[in-house]
Amino acid sequence: MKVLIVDDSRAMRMIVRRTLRQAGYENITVEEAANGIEGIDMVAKFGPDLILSDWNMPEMTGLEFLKSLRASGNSVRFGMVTSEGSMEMRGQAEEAGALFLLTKPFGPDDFKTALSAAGF
Amino acid sequence: MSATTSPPSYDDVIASTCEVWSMMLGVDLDVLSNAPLIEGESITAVVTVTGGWNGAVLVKAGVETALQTGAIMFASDPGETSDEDVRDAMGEIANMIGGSLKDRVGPGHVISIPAVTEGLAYKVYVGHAKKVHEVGFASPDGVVILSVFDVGKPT
Repeated sequence: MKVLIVDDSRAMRMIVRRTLRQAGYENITVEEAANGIEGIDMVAKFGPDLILSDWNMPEMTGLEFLKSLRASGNSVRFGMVTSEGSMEMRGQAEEAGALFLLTKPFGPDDFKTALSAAGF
Repeated sequence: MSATTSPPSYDDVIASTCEVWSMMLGVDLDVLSNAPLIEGESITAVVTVTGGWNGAVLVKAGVETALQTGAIMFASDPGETSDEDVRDAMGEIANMIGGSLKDRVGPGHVISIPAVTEGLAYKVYVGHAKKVHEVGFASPDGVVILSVFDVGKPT
């Protein structure tokens, strides 16, 4: 499984990587990007099976990133990992095509539940 | 848009801060009866919240405490944790606590990208805001202070 982690915080990208392993996803290949624009480049180069993206990022937000992917016809499975946990933002993410929205702070069980439901 | 205009409560501040430290760092914080003065060089991360309630959330720690915190987040040795990594870690902590408090306040709020400042002698001004909470927490690595400012309605 190839996972693209998109977050402007290097600390958070590392924590997401670590939490994926703790959730039992050991045999994965991970690439990273620091915002939506870098994310679009990485999707073309890396061809991920799953994208885990922050919402609030400079240059291009996670929601804009997701909308851009869908507008270009890309249907890669996409989950938000963000501090934006309100119902309205969950609704926006879902409407744009996100499979789930995980709220920071999170633990391995949160990842396991969300990714299992997404088919991983 | 939310009708909520009140800042988060004291209990909200404690719950959000302790939750972030516990879940993301595996560290349990003790709430201090008073927020002590942090002497020497320190680092402060700030996020602002806008919506029905307008305010700011600040997380402050001494550089050594911040370094240890960054090292835990990066799972690295403190000696191998760069200043940039420490700023990144503190900013992300402020982001998570601010996001949690934002959700406790109610719907219709937006959080900013974190800003981080550091040094020996500095002040952080948040518009014409009033400090509504200043809570000290003790971690095994030192003291952390969480402050909440209420900006009121933007003019």
